[in-house]
Amino acid sequence: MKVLIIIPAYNESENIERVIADIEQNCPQYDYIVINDCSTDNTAQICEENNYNYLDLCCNLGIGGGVQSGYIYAHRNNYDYAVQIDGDGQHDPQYISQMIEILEKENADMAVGSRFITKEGFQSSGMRRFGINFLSTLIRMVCGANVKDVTSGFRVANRKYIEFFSKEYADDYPEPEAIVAVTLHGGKVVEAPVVMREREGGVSSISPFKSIYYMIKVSLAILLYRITYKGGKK
Amino acid sequence: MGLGLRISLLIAIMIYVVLIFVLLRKKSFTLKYSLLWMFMAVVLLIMVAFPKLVEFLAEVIGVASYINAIFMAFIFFILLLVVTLTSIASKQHREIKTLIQNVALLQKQVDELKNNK
Ligand SMILES: Nc1nc2c(ncn2[C@@H]2O[C@H](COP(=O)(O)OP(=O)(O)O)[C@@H](O)[C@H]2O)c(=O)[nH]1
Ligand SMILES: [Mg+2]
Repeated sequence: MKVLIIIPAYNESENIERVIADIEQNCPQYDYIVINDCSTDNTAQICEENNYNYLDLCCNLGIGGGVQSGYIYAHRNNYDYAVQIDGDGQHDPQYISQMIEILEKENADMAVGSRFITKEGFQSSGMRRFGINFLSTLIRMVCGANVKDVTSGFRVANRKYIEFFSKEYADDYPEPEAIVAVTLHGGKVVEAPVVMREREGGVSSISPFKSIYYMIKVSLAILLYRITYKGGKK
Repeated sequence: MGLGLRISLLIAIMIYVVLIFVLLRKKSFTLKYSLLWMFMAVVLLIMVAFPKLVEFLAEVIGVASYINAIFMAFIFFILLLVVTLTSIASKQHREIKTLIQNVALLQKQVDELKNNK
């Protein structure tokens, strides 16, 4: 079983070494690829010096286009599963094997790592949880997928949806939309319990002000996806 | 429509058409994208050539004076052009994204080949 861990990294020089060390120590059986999305700090240099497996994008594509290049890489190199984890150390790679197990057991196409099932560890701010709940409800109404932690960037996709994402993946704030896309195309999305950590260094790309923009943009994107989706409901 | 207005409109359209042709000649314009521009010139010419038509149309759509009808036509075309430009920009955005991704993947392969030697 070939598994690729995709790590989007934008200005993660404070965290990337810890994240890779964690993977190399706890899941040496998996391959990984860091996507340096034109960071303005020395993320690229760190990857080069440590001989990490990494991609260097020459312009900043944002999280969507960045992660998508990881899926293209996974597709071209024939991986069975692609796992997305954040480059800031919030996601513990030890959960990956459980996520894949759950995905296989449930016969699903994508498994989302959710911090709201066991409700342990980092739960995010109240405001952000409110937004996540809203999006979760919207997604359930739009396509029937039952996912609580819809913005979680910790997820596994199988071969079929690696190929799908390599062709079609939203540009910015792609996580919730990807759940809708998979479900509408007849795929099954399940949640797997994980415990998340607080970001270890650097700053989150989503400031309080941006989160309002985020909510409007993502809600619209989800509704639009539903309206413009061709080919009947699954 | 007064003669003065018709002449000034005609001059404006002439300048506009000449500009399009100059840009087309210099190849700084793709023909495909200039079709809408030319179509716009033709419609405006028709409006100048047949003022009675404009007056009639102004009455039909309930515009008080024909000059407002001309303004409306202009604004409508500009909206159409802006929407077209947005769609062109979106398409190019997608293409550029794919290019950047492929450049990065190729770069990686090149580096790997180099290091194997
Ligand atoms: N490729 C790419 N990744 C990004 C960009 N901005 C943020 N990221 C990565 O996306 C992940 C999640 O971002 P983060 O700011 O922690 O968002 P949060 O966890 O939702 O607060 C991290 O791994 C970031 O390095 C970007 O512009 N491009
Ligand atoms: Mg984070």
